[in-house]
Amino acid sequence: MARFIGMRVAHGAVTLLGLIVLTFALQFIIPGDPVRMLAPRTPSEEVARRIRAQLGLDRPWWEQLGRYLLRVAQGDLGESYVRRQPVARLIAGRLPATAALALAGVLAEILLGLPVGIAMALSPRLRGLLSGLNLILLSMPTFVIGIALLLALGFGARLFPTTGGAGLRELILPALTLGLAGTPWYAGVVRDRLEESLGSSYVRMAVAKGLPNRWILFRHCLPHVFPALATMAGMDLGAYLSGVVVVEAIFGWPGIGLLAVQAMQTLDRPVVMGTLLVGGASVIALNGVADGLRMILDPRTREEVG
Amino acid sequence: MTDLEPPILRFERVTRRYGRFTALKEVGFSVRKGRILGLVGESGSGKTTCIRLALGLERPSAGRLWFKDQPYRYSPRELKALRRRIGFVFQDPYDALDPQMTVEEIIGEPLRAHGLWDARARERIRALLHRVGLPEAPLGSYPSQYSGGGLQRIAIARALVLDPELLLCDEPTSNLDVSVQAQIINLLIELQRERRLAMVFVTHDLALIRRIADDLVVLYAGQVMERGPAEAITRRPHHPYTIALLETGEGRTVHPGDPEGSVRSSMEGCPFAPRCWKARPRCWAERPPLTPVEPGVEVSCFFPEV
Amino acid sequence: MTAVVRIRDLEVAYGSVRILEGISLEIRKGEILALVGETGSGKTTLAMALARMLPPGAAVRGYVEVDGWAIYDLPVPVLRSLRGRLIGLVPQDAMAALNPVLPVGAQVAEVFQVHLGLSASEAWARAVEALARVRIPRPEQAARLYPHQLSGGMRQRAVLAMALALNPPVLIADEPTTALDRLTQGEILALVRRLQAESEIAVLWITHDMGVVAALAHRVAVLYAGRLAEVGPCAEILSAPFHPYTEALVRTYYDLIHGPRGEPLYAIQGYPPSARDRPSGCPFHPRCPYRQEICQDRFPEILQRGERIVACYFPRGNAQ
Repeated sequence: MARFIGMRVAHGAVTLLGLIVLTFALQFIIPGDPVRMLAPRTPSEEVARRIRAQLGLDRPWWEQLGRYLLRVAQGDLGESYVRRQPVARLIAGRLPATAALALAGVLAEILLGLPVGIAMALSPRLRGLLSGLNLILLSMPTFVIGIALLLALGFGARLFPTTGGAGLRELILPALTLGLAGTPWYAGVVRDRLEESLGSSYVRMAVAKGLPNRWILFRHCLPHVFPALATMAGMDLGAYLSGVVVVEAIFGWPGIGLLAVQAMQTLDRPVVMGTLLVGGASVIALNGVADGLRMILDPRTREEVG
Repeated sequence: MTDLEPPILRFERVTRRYGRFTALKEVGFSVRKGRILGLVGESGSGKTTCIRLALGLERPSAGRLWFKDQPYRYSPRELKALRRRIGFVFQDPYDALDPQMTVEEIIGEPLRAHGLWDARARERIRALLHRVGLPEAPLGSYPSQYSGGGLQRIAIARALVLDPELLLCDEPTSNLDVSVQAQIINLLIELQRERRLAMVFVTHDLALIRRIADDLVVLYAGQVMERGPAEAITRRPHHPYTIALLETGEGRTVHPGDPEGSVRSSMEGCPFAPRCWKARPRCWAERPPLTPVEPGVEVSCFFPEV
Repeated sequence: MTAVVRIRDLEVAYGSVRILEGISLEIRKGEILALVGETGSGKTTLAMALARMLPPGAAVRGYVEVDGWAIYDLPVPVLRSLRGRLIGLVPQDAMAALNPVLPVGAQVAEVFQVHLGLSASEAWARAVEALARVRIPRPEQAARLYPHQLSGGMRQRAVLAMALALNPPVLIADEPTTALDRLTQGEILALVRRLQAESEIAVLWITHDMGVVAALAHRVAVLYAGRLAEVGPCAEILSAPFHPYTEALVRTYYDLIHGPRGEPLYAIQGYPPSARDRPSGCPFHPRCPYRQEICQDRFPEILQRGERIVACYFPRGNAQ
């Protein structure tokens, strides 16, 4: 087990390194000449040269890469061209809100998807109805779901705030949006796993043992669902931690996604690179955690004893 | 004279390891032309590994295989030439035949694979079908139209279509109904006699071996426990495992051993020790070498029955 | 001996295909009845029909009584509460009876929790006892293991423990040792004999292996193509079978063990029919060495001689 964890960590570290190098390479593609961003007006040759020297842009590329790696390792992601603040601090400022939304969103997906999936697996009648519902949700882009919720429950029923903010009440609608968008996926996985379990011979044996249906569902069937659910939740969490721009934009939720988009619009290269890195790192980390969780939840991966 | 010709198949101290697991340990035996070798063992004994090695599907980790006077060589061309001389019939008839192929295609496949399909091929297939007891089987019929016994007959026809010198049978009747098993075995023996084939017959049924085999090798946990003429051994078995097999086969009670005894082939001592009623400390510490106990019979045991 | 299971004129069909027909059988307290049958005989259907566990499409006619309960007359809730307490079931493949993601002990314990209302810890203790009863070594540790961590023989013992947990009057075992190696099979058979002697449980043991029949059974019922060919005490059936099919099976078995080396095995020609392609009249007639005209016209009447029953116009031995 420890060996497995060690391997995964090493694996993740290598991937992270690759990500950093890739991000570094991307800066030559991302538009946003720092000279023009940082210098007032059209700078003279002299000023331009000084800015470049200051940023180390006149150095050979491998030296720049080395410096970049070193700085990233120390947590220094550079300074925003636009806001003149350290990128790391900008991102850190957005992290709590991002994390809150990510967690709430995944929670919503599970809380909605699980009962729907169970209902679909157990009741042939409900199955048709819920399949239709899932189809509708699937075909609605996330922003449509978000706007619909905002209009109906925010402006319409006045149940939730419609201005931006990061409080608990402000969290509900965006989280619900993510939840509804993901429900078809989660419900589908739950339904498939459950159906497989319900048709299995050990469930038949459980019936033969005279166990009541609810017991069989919760003790015998649901444990087959959890590993898959954990994997999906982990991946989603990682993805949401790198920002969900659309939802953040609609609800004015101060997350990393909005930060990243604003940076792209203003050609604020360091911020773009910084958000890329942080987002990528969280995806890598959480995928690893999801894998580990799945291994723990599925006893079949344990060693044979004899 | 048969005795002066090299055996058709010979295993010379063959060992096969998969990582830390040893499937076969210094297994040696030979099969002569026109003689049937019974390979007796349970699941985990390594008998399937022997078959795979004999077919060239795997290479030994140590030791060598011989076909007549040529050692096994594993280049694609040599393997192909080798497989032309070996036919095989496996345990599960439903699994062994491609349900999408017609009977003609199934039996003709080896001919095509070796570039031997000619104008008389169809005739030969029909003759073979006749010989295996399916004279009226349409060439265009499919496996789904046959029962287990019929499928096995088709498999036998396919095994013989290239006129092999060696026939490998891996529990060819274990999946068949009891009332059909004897038919198929009789067919195999008839064909073996007619064509003077060397045959390896893998089974766990020692009583069957007594009836049909000339020579016998008893495998347990990848090692040879006893080997020699089938008649001598089945009349008077020497190794405790052989004795237990013979007694169980006849419906009598088995000698009590440790019921938890599991197969651990990486141990230094005799692998049967955990389940042996005769086991003494020496059996766990040392591996008993194959020693003659009567003319032609060798046993790997410190306390064989004599 | 009292009958714990009474079956009268049982018939099971799926649509127009009749799997079982005219089955009348008894299983008595303290006896092991071996049910011998091959592919297409309907043996597993019979076992499932006894436990009322056939799939929804099955049409069942006739009378089935277990321990005084008329199984098919019971309302579903009553049946549910009786399940597990009336019949213990051991299927062919232990892995088919066990949930791979739950520890083995939990799967035995839940029977106690549900049916006897025991607490989790009490039920667990009883589960460990049950595992010890089937001679699983170090049962406290074994109980915490998952099915794939146990060997095949241990798994089958665990399933046996599960089936016998509530001391049901009837045990149905469907070829439970076929997948096991010979030595383990011998151990399981010895275990079953011992347990049965202790508890007087009535056992229906489905098998196709005459060696197992000889080692285990008190009485034998032979099933062919959905109908009973012969029923009787084991020793008599093995030494003097009445039905030609039974005779063929017994001869095949003895020929294997005692026949001369180098000679062809005694073999019955033909194949057992599938449920859809059953021959008319007596379904064995195409393969029967003694068949006559009447055998393909109508299924023979059941003849009774003392403890024995046979369905044949021309039974062997001194059944005349």
